[in-house]
Amino acid sequence: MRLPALNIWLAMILVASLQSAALAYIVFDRAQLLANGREIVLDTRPVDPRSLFRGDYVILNYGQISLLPQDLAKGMEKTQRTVYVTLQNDAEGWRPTAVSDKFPDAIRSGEVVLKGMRQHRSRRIRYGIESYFVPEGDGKRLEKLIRKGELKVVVAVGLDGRAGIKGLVVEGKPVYDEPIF
Amino acid sequence: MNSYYRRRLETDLKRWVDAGFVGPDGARAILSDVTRERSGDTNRIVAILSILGAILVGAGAISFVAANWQEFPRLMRLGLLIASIFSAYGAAAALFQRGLGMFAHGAVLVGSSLFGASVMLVAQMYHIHGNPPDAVFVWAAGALLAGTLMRSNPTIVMSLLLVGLWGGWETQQVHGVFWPFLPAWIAVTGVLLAKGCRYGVKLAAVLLAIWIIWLGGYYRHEITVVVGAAFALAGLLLSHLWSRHENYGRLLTSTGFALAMVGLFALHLLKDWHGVSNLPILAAYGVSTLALAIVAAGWGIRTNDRTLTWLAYAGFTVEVGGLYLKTIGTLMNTSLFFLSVGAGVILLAAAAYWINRHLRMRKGAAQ
Repeated sequence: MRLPALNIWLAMILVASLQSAALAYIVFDRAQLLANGREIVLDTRPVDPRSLFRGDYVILNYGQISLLPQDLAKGMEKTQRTVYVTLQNDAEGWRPTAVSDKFPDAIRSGEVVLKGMRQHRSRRIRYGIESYFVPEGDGKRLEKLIRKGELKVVVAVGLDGRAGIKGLVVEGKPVYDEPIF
Repeated sequence: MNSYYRRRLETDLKRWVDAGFVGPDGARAILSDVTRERSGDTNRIVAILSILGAILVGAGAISFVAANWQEFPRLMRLGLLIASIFSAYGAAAALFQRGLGMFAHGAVLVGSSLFGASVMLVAQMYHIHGNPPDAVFVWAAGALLAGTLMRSNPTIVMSLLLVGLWGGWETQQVHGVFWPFLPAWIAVTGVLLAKGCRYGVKLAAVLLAIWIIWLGGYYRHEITVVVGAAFALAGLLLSHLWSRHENYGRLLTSTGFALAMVGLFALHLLKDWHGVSNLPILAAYGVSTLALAIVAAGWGIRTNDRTLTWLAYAGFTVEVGGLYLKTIGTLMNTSLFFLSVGAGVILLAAAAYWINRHLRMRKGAAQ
């Protein structure tokens, strides 16, 4: 089996364009989510301060949202991987109130649903918002702020439950990385 | 061609010229032909160096961009990545056109590495911490596309390795069998077969074997033995019925044999065989595994299949070592076991010698 002789320049342009289109799609998809998603502000909590700083990114942990309480986790199927976690906002911030394997039918106004991936049959859930890349050398400063409880994360949540990091709130002031594009 | 072969050929040719099999002119022609082929070695070294160089340049470019990342606004970073991809493939096309194929393959490899790095950098740019194997999958798909359209086998092989990385990573995360690996493997291996990339197909066979061994680990090791036996049988049939594809038949046979052996090892060497009543079972496993290795070695020698022969020797050695460790300190007498198996092997050799002689005598009588 031989492929028809394709002009090498045509092949080159095709390959480079398709690969660039894939990259542009990822960027566009993400920009869409950040621009149109509902904005919520989550507290980050250090669980194990030693593992917070790794290379040039900070690992973010969201307390109960990241490690679901026992009573909520009981409802999950043993082998279930994708989970939808409903969060409710109260005086203490966003808190998980329900877990389901499909996107819930009805959501109340004070609620938001996050799509997450469960870590090997445990209560630990990842939402894709667990790391924040920082300029070299800035990681230590952010790590200290997390430890003092002065760092919050601005998250955009899409209608399908996907979440993306929009920016950080440092000492009560929002700090955005840069414009979405 | 290695110099060992050339040296051996020189001594043999001297003997053959003396015996009158080859004329002195023929001997000279054969030697000069071998020497000319040796200049192909230099080409291969150039190719290997250009590919290694390409990998290093790709790594350097990526780390430079990653280190100076914050200096550029987001859209410009994307533009930079896309420009680098275009220039790598453009360089590849220009090099192909000038007939510098070896450097062109390196450039395609750089382009595909840059694509993979770009996927990671875009994830970093938007702080995406999703499922990392997904990014590896996208990278593998991009490399397959580039390797196929630009007709560059090294990049298709890179795609194969990425599929392996993706499958392994996902397997670790699911803690179970990751079936999507199979269609992806088939897609990349199909392209490698169509392009006639021999080393890539060999690598694909190794990758599939690892996956099947894993499968046995999650279900039952019998699966590995059965699949291995089926592969070996299919390989034997392929090389005999379709001699044009004898090379792939041999590869299938060797892979199947290796799989069957690993499955058998897992079945009886990983277990604890406590109690006297279990020992006959262990002995039966041992005898059949050793017999399989001996048959495979014999077949390998008969058909000049060096890979199979060496795999058989290795399997035999592992089995003997494993049995030794298993039977130490048990009620079964280790030395007695080896003595009887050894005697059996010698008897087998004697029988083979006798049959051979018998056949030769009959052939001689017929002539």
